[in-house]
Amino acid sequence: MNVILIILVAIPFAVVLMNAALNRAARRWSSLPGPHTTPFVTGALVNGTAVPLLTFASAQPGDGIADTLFGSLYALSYVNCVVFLNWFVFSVTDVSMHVHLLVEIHRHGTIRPEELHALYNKSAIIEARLPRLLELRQLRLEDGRLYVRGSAVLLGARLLVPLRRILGIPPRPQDAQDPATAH
Amino acid sequence: MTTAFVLGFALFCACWLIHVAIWRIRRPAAYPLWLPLIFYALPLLVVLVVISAGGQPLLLSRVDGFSIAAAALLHVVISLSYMCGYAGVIEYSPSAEILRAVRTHMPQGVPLEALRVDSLTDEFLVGKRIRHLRSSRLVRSDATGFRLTGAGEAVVTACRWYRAVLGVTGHGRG
Repeated sequence: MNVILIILVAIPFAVVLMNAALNRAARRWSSLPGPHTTPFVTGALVNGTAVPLLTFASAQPGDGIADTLFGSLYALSYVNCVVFLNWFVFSVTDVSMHVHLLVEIHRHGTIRPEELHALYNKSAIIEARLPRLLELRQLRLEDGRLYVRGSAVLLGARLLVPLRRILGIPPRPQDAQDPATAH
Repeated sequence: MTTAFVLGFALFCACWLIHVAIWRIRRPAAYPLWLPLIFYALPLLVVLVVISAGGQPLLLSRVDGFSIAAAALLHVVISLSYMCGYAGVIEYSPSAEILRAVRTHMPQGVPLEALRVDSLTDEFLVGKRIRHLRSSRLVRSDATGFRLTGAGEAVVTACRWYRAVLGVTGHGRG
């Protein structure tokens, strides 16, 4: 059983190292997916290896179907939370507006508010996201026109709406821009 | 693993229900402090109280040490995932709003230069975040403009270091 605990602690490090290896391979061979896709490839690989390994390692003699099922549920929950955290931490360093503002201020040492606004504003934020949405196949660009392609991001956003309602948070940004309801 | 899964998941659910109850009474602005208190400090406090009240032998007679450790690990990663995901709950995704704006033009699509995302504003996207950074003491402001505090510099350095570990060059576009 100690082996299982060691495997559980090792999984986060393995996920980061696997993602790092994929990113380095992608830089060398440009036909491979970019850094916004490699966390998902990493997730698929880790699910294919760590989940069966954990399920097998945790199986005890005399375990019934229910025990095996719970073992699999544990492995799936743990591994996919780690996979999510790996994606999330990279995303924060890449797409977080908070972090980008810090980086821009860091680059300039001192920057006036109007200069910062000229560098980073709504247009810049939208322009930064379009290539990522194209890479993630959520959008398609054809003859200069944008089309919705995938639904994963929109589905994720839709799933957050009931959670916002439960927590008493305005469901859409236009609702939150009312100062009475804003965070 | 059955006990570990049930215990770990039940612990997360119990903390989540406390989180919802508090949020429905009054949603705290300092959620980066409140969420770890609810999901980590509170269970630890309960465990310490149980141990100090002499409840440890009773607990360990029902659940083995391995199951407790595995349950704790599961609770840690699920809670951490939730706390990280919470930022996505309160900070509306510009990507989702872009996709919604494009979807209103389907099936004919929208010219790239004609794309408008009216649900987002400069103040909502940038102004609000500058205020967050200042209230978090990562940025300070004086007559010459904005500059980073030591904590702000540490965040930038940590991001650069992590991206180097991940094999991703440069900084993101935000």
